[in-house]
Amino acid sequence: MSSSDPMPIEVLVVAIPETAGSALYGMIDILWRQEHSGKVWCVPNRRKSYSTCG
Amino acid sequence: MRAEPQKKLFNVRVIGFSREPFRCENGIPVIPDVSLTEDPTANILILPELWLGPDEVFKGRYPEIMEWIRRQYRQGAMIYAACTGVIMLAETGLLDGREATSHWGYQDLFRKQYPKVHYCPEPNLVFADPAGRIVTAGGTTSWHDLAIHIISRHANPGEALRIAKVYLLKLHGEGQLPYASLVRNDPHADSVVRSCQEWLREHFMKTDAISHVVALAKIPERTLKRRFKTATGLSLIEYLQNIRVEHAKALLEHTETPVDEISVAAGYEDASFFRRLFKRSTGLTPSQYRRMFQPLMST
Repeated sequence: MSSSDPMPIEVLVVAIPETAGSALYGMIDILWRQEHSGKVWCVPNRRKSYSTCG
Repeated sequence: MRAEPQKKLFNVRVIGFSREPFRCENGIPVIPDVSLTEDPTANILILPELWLGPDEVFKGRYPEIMEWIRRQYRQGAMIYAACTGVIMLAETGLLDGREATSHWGYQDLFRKQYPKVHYCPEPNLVFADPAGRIVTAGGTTSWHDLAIHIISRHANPGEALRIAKVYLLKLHGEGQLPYASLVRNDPHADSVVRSCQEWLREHFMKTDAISHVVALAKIPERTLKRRFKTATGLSLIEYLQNIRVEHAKALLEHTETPVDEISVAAGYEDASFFRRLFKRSTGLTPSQYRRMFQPLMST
């Protein structure tokens, strides 16, 4: 991240013993992977940099 | 799948009652990043699905967490709840007088335990307020829809589209109606109504089923209709129609019987009326329903 990037949005996922763990970590996985999915998108789409993605 | 990081949009943490690790009811271990006693603030709160049966009572559990959620909302947080996580949100009172959805199977729980919530069983995403500060999602995998919505809203639609393609997520645009069981076994104490329900389940194909069941009940028709609605949440005719549509759904799932014949088997001689009723009840035409669910029977 560069210094000009906005601060990330603070997300709290509420977990109690009744929480379905799969749904809890599924949601976390998608929101967390959002940060890491660039290569998965760029490589098959033959993009040179993440900044050209999306 | 792993890849190099790009711009970080979300800082996602798990909040628990304490930082002490625990196991969810389905056995999955959870290690909270932050505890309630630290009183953290967030831009977004997410309440995921709970492992809670439709006949269970959540009322009165975790009052400190409910107060913390209410305080976060007052301080400006947006709240997203999925499936039975909406029960937790209802427990905070923040849904009182507002529209919400949840898993279709919990309609009766909301009717009985959270009657102030305007429960919408059909859509997959419901905005509780015009500003969309509270958004609820329907059953189980509808958290996919919620994740796409969150990314689209707080990043941009292009990012949501990219994530949906990378992770094979799809919006359940058809809503929850195609999946919902229209005839639910909701226990109640009215023995006259129960006997009527049993009779209708056996004889739904009779064209004059309603007059038969009124005669069977041996109480005034108006009284029966009032008691039936009180006990089941449905009118007599709605209950009968639901049984008939469920029978038609089973025939569409398991057989190649033409739709006109299914209409007759379900108790409707007028096939065009049946098609309209089926569409209204399930959100799909009979043919669309067959295309959606019959392949599941052959996998």
